[in-house]
Amino acid sequence: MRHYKITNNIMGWVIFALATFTYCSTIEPTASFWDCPEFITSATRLEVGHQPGAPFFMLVGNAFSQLASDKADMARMVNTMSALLSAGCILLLFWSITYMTRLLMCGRNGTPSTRETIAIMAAGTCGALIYTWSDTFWFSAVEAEVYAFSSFCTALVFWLILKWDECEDRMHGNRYIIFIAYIMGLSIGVHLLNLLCIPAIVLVYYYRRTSKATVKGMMTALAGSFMLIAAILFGLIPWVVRMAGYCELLCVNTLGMPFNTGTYIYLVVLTAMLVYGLYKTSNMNGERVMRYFTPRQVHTAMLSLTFMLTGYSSYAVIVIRSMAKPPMCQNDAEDMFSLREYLSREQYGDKPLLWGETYASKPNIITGKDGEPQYETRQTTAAYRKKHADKDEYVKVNDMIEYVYSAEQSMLVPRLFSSRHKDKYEQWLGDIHGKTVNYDIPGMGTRQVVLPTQIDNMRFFFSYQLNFMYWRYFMWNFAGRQNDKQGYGEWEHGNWLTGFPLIDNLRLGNQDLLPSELKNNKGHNVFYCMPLILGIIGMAWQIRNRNKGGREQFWVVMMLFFMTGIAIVLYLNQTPVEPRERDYAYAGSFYAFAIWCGLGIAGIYTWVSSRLDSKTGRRMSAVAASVLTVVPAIAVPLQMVSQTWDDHDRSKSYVCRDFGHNYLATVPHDGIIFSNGDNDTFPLWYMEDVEGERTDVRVCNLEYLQTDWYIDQMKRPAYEGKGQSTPLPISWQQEHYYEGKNEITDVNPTVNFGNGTMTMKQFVTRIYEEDPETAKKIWGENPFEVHNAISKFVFKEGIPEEYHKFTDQLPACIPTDTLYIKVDKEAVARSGMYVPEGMEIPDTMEISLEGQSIIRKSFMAMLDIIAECNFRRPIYVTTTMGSSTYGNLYRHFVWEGMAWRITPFTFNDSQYKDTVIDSKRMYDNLMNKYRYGNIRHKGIHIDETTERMCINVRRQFSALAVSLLKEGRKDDALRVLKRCDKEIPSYNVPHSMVSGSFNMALAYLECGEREAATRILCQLEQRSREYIRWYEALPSFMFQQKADDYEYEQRVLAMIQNYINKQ
Amino acid sequence: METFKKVNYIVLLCGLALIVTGVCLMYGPGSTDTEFCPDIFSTRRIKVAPLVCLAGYVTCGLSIFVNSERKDKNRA
Repeated sequence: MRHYKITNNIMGWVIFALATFTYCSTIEPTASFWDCPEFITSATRLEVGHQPGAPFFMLVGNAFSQLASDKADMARMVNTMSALLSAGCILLLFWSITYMTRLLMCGRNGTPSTRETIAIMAAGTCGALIYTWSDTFWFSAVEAEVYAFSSFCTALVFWLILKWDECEDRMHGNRYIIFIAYIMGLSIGVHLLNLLCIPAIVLVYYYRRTSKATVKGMMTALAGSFMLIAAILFGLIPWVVRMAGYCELLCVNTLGMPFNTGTYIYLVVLTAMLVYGLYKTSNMNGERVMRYFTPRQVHTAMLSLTFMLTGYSSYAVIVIRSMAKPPMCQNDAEDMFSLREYLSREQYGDKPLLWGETYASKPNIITGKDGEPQYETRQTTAAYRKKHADKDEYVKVNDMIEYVYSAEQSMLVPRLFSSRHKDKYEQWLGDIHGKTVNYDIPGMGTRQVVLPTQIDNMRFFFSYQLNFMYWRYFMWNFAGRQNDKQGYGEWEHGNWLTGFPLIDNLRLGNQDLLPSELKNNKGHNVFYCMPLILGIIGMAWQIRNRNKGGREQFWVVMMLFFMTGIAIVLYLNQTPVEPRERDYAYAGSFYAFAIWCGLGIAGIYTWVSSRLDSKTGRRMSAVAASVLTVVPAIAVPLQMVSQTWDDHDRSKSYVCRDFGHNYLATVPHDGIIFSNGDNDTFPLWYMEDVEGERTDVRVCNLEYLQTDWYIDQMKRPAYEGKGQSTPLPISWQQEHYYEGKNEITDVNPTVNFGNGTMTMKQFVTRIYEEDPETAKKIWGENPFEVHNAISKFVFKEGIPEEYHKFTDQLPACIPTDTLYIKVDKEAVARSGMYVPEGMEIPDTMEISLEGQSIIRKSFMAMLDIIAECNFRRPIYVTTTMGSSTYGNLYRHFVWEGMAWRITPFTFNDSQYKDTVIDSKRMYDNLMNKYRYGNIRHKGIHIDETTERMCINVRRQFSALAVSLLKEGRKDDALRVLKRCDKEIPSYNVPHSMVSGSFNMALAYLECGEREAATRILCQLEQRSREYIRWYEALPSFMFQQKADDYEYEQRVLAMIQNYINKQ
Repeated sequence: METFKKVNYIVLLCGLALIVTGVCLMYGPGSTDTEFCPDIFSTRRIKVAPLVCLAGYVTCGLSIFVNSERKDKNRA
């Protein structure tokens, strides 16, 4: 036995070394895209990231970041943390597999023979390496996200329960249980996924402790485990904080004590209760509790609870740091109420699971207090905020409400619930069965509504949520992946493959006809289903091993697989479409399947060796055994890594960090830049907070500007000294932007005035014409000036008392479709901004709200900021912001590079089509200031997010070149083109119409560079041809979806061929 | 024989004390509506305090395994 143990230990560490090497040599050297820069900032500077937070991740990440050599190296250290934790996960996977294999081959007390040892080691190696080099796990292992840490916690608790299982000494075994509870508690501060391991753990406990396992017993144990998860997820986690909140209300509001007294008292009481509980249960001599649990079990449970709460206490970090109000301080979780909201991810909304509405359902309408029909609502929770006054007090801000739906309009297990996604649902489903239902509106009779049926519902669940958003990811890891483009259901993007043309072509069309940019995509990885087959063999072998507990083992692994896979699909109730692929959420279920893959090797060994033994009548030599097991055990993972290495190696990429730098470089001193999503905002935050660059620029995320805590944050100064970022001049009082207030505002609504209807604009204009004196007394000089319109018409502030009766009857709205700002012309001149030819600095800036019937709080705040700044501070918008966010403001944009400057000039559509460019600044930015993240490195992998950024940049280069040519600056234009070809080369980022390559070719021609132009045109022609060929080969039902694209490519091809022929 | 002996409780208490110390070290003045407080990024608060906290959590974890006598020496 000792030999086996030593071998097992050594092999484990060998695998660990392999995994460490793999991940450490492929980590990203700085921050990665999506949430990573935010996590790095939260770890290195202890700032507060998005809900529900990861305080324990912050602490461990912080420790790692202190090993960094300088500020720029900190990101790499946090990435290294992910790499090492992932390697640790692999180590534990190896040991888990070898333990389970040994049990099945030799029984609990048997010692493996040499050939059995080899087989067991091979099984562990195979399963561990398959997982090491699989797509999803590797992706999370090389970046600073919580998923690597969470996977480690999952591996740890699973391995710990196996250690407990192995342990003969029951006293010592208890400690493993308590430690598992501790890890669970700590993992609340990483990611809640870890709780999903509980059913598997409970099953192991049940099988070990029971003398005879029965189906009924197993079901009871499982039911108990689900109740345990629910108790932790919906009981312990929210209620520990809620109780603190009630304590606070009692102490502060009722008893008049200062803030936080209630929290301290609560903590003391809680601790006292735990101590008492521990003391009471430590008495070993007693009867069974509830006639089932021994006193020792109860004491262990009490200790486990204590340690789980200890782990959970890491959230104190969130509260303490929120109180400090760092520059990134999401949700301001500084008191028990906002902490509760922070934990519950209230920002993201609720999804009905067992019973609820469909996307077409209409809420009940009842007659409201004012006699008018309104939607029926139900109060869910109350939100409280601290009121800053002489006396500390909590004030109820608003009640969270939800709509009420009638029983006819609801269904069981609704998977099609979101009214916002109606179009996407119907697009995915095609035709729906639909059923018509009556809808009563009091006072207006009965209408009809068409709701989806349960068949439609289930069809969506199976085809989209289960198949497309889970099994597809599963097959990526164990069969093969087509490419790393995000898939939306089409045949050419992001599907799973086997590698066998017969199967793949049947499912997804002739893969040979795919355009070369997709065929050559590094994300194309095929494993010929070998890992999948191994896994299935492993499952079968495990089940058939009845006498050694194989059945029980199967259920344990199956519970892990199901809970971290399909159960998540059930819980998430995803809507189409997601902004990115979500495979990282299911890494736990792929871990479970990797266990089966390892067992498959042992299964092969057992089967073949028993055949050979019976045939030849003598035992197979150790050599034959090793060949039999070691060869496939190593060959399968090696084949995998030969495919997956190239698209997971991020070691040369600096794109995210450099693009953060570029945004900042575009903005002059003390400027403001508005951003929208993750991939512009987070690199900006990272560069300012972690690398300390250009902290004078104020970054404002428009998504967050919708919330009260972020508006508060924007009003505060950040950083110090020369790099201080002055606050945004938002003039609003808190009462107007609390959560729930003015979330959306009507724009120029039509109002009924008794003797007819007219728009607010007409109404207000008429009053100003008929009685200007009174009008000005009520609403000031210009009612349509931005600040005035918001303060007087939306907030209704500062209106003289005697007119309140009149103004109270008017709706709160923007009273016009065009707002004005009186321009500070001197400030504009001082700023040195580009004044387009033939234009003068205008007296007023006209902001059109045409086409917008409502505006959001964030947009209104943005307008207020622009008005208050009045060009004394430069204001920019990132070019990655979508048009739905900035409305008609594009009419005032001047393009300077990766951001547009907001100017007081209004460009009409014909001017705008050429996109007004400040060529002097844009040249300086693109040619001198910007960095390009090593995109030109041959062989680097450009994933889709990076590619989108590259396309954006190439468009900037080509637009600049065109603009320079218009000014007659041929030499400069040529320099720009050549630089573009150098930094965004076609061998990494193929030429395409959408990236401005066509304009580049034309610009080259104008400069006299025929070769370069022809090269680009030929590539574009080739690309169009290939796409046309692909579309033409599609069957008609698939072709219909692509008809528009097909037509587009044909037009493009015709245009390009025209040009080529003309040369 | 109890699962948790005096030694274990003492180590646990030390761990908890370390955590509380760490959190206290992290505490300090914050930025207000009008002024940024550079102290929020001081060495004490973002470098020393988290390490103390982490040491506390590790100690609490160790307290579970301290002084564990095992009847069987069968280890994998």
